[in-house]
Amino acid sequence: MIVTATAPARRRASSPATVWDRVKRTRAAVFGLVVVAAVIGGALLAPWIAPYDPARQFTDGLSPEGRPLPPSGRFWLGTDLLGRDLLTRLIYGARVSLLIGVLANAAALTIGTLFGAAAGYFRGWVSTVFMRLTDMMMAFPALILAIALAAILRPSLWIVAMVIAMVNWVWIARIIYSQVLSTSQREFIEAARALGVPTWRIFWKHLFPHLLPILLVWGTLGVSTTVMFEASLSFLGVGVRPPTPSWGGTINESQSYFLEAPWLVAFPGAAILLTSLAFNLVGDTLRDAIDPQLRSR
Amino acid sequence: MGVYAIRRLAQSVVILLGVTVITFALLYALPADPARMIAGRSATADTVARIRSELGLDQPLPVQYARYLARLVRGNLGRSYAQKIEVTDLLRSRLAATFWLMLGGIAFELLIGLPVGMLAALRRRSAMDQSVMVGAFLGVSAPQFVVGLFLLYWLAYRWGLFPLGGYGSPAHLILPAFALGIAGGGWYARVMRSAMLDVIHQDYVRTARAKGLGETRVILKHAMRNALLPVVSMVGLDIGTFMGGVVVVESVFSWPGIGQLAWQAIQIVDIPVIMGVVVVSALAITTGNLLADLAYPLLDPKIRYG
Repeated sequence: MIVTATAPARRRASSPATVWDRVKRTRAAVFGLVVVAAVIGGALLAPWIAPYDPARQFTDGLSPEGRPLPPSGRFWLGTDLLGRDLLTRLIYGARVSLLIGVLANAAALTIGTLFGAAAGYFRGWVSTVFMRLTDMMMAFPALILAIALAAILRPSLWIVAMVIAMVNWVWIARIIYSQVLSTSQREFIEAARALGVPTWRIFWKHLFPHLLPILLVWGTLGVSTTVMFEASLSFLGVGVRPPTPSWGGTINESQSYFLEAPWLVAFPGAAILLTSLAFNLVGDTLRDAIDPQLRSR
Repeated sequence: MGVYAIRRLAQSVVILLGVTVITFALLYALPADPARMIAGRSATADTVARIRSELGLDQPLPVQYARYLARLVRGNLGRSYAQKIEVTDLLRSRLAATFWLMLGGIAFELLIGLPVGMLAALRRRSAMDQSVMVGAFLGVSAPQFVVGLFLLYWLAYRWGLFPLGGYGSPAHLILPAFALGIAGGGWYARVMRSAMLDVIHQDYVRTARAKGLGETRVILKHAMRNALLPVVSMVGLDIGTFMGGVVVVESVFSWPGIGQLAWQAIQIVDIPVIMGVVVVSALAITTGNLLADLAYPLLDPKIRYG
């Protein structure tokens, strides 16, 4: 039997160029990137590319019996229950979804990184308290808690984003914790500590750059979770308030008309599915590219 | 193992206590006044005050919590504000429905995830592998309520194969269970695939082949058993999460489980019911985690807890 000596596997993050190369070569990721770009573009340029005003109720937007109209040349994706153009509503809805996605995610990443890094670096009782706290957060029925908070606090875009962040930061914190736990034992950190570099500087200059790739990956995957979560809250009627257009909200309003106007569920549903899928595909490829050890082959 | 189990059990109790403290504080600190909700809009200030003192809501929060906890350890979750029924009775009738939905959801997760993940691993890098993996992501990314509504539209409304929501017979269970299981099925497929790829190149699998076992036997008997390990812990987690109430699916299919109960209680700020559901959910989730951890060494003799 031949024994090949291999160097101990080093967890080395790939360079941005190799990462980009890998993303480019993965068809699913390219598809994901295109969709992500389209959704972001749509959200930013909504006033210019949307065919109509999102709040405008067309007098010819409902059938004579007062039903919403199916897709046509005038209203490409049909109209909603109030005779508003569905395509326009969906384009503006991308703003809500993405804004909440980014806000909630940024908050979750920040809180998660702070807690996780502190626990992983200081160890001892700090890490014990951290582990028990995260255990507890993970035992919460997340959606029920989020619904209760959102319902009682009168949902606004900010509240919804913060409620989602409160539920999601735990996972990030756990990941950052284990990463910092291993990184902070490496020689360069010990060297910095021995040289008397202040702790905040060790964090910022020496530890943080090692966390960036992970943050990038989980930040991307997190948008997908958040978009879904926001849609669920809106679907249950505790998301952002109407008349603000949101994908989940449109489905919630149209639910009882579903059998007569299935497009009112299909199109916003497709928007949620595509956005969530796209961020998942990009995030997954990034993870494979950045951390070869975690590669799912 | 015994010591480990006891320590984990003790931890779970502490976690549950923490959950009740936080939920209690959150619910009672929020700007909703249950006494006024019960009294109704036209009630006088006197009536509201009387109800408040009857419910003990005029006491300081720590006193209220201590009373709650004292009742909780005796298995008393209080009375619903709205329905004037014991919360435990409300929960009991709902838990059965949630239990069946949990079972059905996990069955679909396994039915979808295991074969799909195995096939993808065995035909690695083939066109099928790739489409299966994109399919798995589609399942993960599909919002449950959209899947649910479309299942209802086509299979129940158009083709009349299943009842249009509700609860009672096995036929009622299939659609909600599928809507619930589809996302997990996607995850299971991905996990199963990579676990299988890990296992299949191990020495003992090569040994099994070398001693002349048929391929089916090698895969099913030797490889799969080990590849299933990560899936077991996922099932443990899912038992907990699903028993904790699946609000969205229950709402789409009008399934009378504890998710629906929570949702109805939230809308009328029926705090004892909300608290009750959270306590039961947290108990289910913690137990699920515990089960997953304790099942591990039984399946994998390499793992021993001190």
